[in-house]
Amino acid sequence: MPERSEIVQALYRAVSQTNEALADSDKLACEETEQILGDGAKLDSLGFVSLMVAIETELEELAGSCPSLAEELSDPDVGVTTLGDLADWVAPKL
Amino acid sequence: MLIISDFNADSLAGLWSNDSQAPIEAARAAGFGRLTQTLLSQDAEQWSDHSAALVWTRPESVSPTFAKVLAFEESDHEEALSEVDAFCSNLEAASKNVASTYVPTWQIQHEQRGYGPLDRTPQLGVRALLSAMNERLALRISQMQGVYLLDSTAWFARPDAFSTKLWYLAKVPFSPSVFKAGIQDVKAAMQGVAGNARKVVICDLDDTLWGGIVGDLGWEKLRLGGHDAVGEALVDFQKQLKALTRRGIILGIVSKNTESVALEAIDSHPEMVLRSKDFAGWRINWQDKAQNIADLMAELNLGLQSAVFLDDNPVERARVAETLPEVLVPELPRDKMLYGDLLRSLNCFDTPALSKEDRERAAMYNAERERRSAMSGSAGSVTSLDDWLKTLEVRVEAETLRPTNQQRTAQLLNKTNQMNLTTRRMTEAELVAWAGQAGHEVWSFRVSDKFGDSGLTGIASLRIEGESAHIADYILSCRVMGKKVEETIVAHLVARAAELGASTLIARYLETKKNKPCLEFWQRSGFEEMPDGSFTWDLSKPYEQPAAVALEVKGAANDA
Repeated sequence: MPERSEIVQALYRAVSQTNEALADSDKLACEETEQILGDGAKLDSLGFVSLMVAIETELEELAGSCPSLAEELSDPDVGVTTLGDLADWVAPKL
Repeated sequence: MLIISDFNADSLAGLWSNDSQAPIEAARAAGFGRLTQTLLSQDAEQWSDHSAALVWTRPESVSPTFAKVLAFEESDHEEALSEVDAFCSNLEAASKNVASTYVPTWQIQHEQRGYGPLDRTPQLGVRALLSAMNERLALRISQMQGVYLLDSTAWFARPDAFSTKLWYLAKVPFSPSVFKAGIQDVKAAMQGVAGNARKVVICDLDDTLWGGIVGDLGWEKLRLGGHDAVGEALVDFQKQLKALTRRGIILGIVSKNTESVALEAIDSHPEMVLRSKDFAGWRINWQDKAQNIADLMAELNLGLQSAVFLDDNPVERARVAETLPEVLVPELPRDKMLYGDLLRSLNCFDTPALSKEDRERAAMYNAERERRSAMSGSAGSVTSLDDWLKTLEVRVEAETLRPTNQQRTAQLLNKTNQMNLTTRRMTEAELVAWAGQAGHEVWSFRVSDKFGDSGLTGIASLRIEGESAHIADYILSCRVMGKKVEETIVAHLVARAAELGASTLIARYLETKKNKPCLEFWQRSGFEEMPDGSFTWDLSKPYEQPAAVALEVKGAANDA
C-alpha cells in the first residue's frame, strides 16, 4: 500500500491538472484542508468530476487500482469533504 | 474564441482561456446539446465579441448513419456523406458570423475495432466510412472562405485520448491532453491566418547540420551521411529543412566558425543536402550569436518574431532565448537522431494558404542576395540610385484584385507591418467583399528585375467618396523597398483616382509600432502634409512616374 504522503502528492498532481481548466478564482489550493465537497466547496459539478477522474488516474498509476471516486463519494455518509479526508478515506482501499 | 460542439466543452473553454500561447484570449462554450441551432443562429449576441469559432464535433452526432454503422447496422454510406454535406452547409452559414472558423477532423476510439480486417472495406467498414466522411469534410471546407480544417490525428495519438469516465459523468469525450494538443494547433493556425507564422529557420552548423566541429576535423571528416546512423539522420534532417523551403520558409546560418572554412564544407561535402544557395543569408564569425541573429534578420528585412533558431548547444540556445525572446528557440534533443522528430513537430510554420510565390521564396531571397552583391560591387561605377535602378531593369505589373491573385494579396495584407499605411487586416473573403463594393478598388503589384521575379509584393486600394479618393491600403513588401516601386505605385494611384473623377487624393497614415518607414516615405513623397497628419495630392497635377521603373497596368476595376 502506498504511503500516505505519496497519496497526498498524487492528489496534489491531480489538483494541478484540474486547475489548468479553471478560472483563477476557482482554482484549488494544494493543501489538505482544501474543501472539495459540501457547502463551501468551490468546484462545480464538471470541476468535481474532472478532479475525481484525474485523481483516479494518478492513484491507479501509483497503486495499480483505485475505487470509483465520483460514484462512492456521492454518498454523503462517506464523510469526505477535504483533500486530507480523501487521502485518509482512499488509503486503505488501494 | 467561441467553441461550438456536441459535447460539454466547458473544460476545453477553461483550458483555452488559461493557455499562455498567443493569441491569448478567453473562450466561451456555446450551449451544449444545441449544435445545429447554434450553427444556424443569427442571434448577434451569441456571435458578438468573438472573431473566431472552433467547431468540434463527434462523427456520430453529425451523421446518424455513422452511428448506425458503429452499431454494425447495414447502412448506405452515401447517406452519411449527405449528412456531412448538410453539416457543412450549416458550418458555412455559421462561418459568416466570424472572421475565421476552425474544424478538427473526426476521430473514433482506438478500441473501436469495427469489422476488424474488413473495416477498411468501402461501403462496409467503420473506418472506411470515417475516412470518406473526413475526405468529404475536407473537400467542402476547401471551397469555403475563412474555414480551416485541422487534422486531429496527432491530438489523439495517446492511450488516454478518449475519456470514457468523463463522458458518462459529464459528457466530456476527450481527455485534457487531447484538448491541450488541439488548442496548440488551433492557435498555430490562427497565427498563420493572422500572418504571424514563422518564416525563417536559422541553423547552427557544428553538431547541428553535421556531426563534428569542421574547424577541428576538416570537412572531409565530418559525420554526415554514409553508413552511420547519426550521419544518415543528419542528412534526413537537412532534407527536412530543404523541404520547408518548398513551403516558403527560408533558411539562414548563424555559426561560430571561420566563414571560408564553413562555406567550403557546405559546398564541398558530397553528403550535404543544403548548399550555400539554399540559404538566404548567414553570419559565420566568432561573434555573439544573438547579435548575429538580430543582424541577419535585419538584413532579411524580417522581424525577430519570424525566426526559429536551431542549435545543439544549450548555452547558445539559452543566450538567444534570453536576449531575443521573440525568437523561437526549440530545445533540440541531445540525440542527433531525434532532430528530425523535433522539426516535424513544430507547428509554428502553419499557414492557411500556399502560393506559387511561397514555394519560390527561397529562390527570391537568393536573387536578392545577388542584387545586394551587385549593388555593392557596382557602387564605384554608378553615379546615382536611378542609374543603378536602370541597370536593374525593374518592372512593376499592376492588376486589380481577381481570383488568381486574391489569396496572395490577402496574405500580404495580413503580414506586412513596416510599409503599411493603415495596417488593415482582413480575411480573403472580407477583402473580396470590400473590393466588390461600389467606389472601391484593390490593386496588386508584382515586381521583377533582371535577377528574378519578387512576386506579388505590393497592394494599394482606393475608396472614392464624392470628389475625394482615399488610399485605404498602401502596402509594400520590405524586399522591394528602395527601388522606386513606392513612387511607381503612388503614380498609378494618382492616375487612377483622376480617371475615376476625383479631384483630391488623400493618404491618412495610421501609426503602429512598426510602420514608421511608411510615414517617412509619405513625408518625402511630394504629397502635401496636412495639419491633421494626412497627405494630399491635387489630382489636376500628374505625379511623376520614376523613369527607372517600367509600369504595366494589366486591368482596370471593371475588367472581369
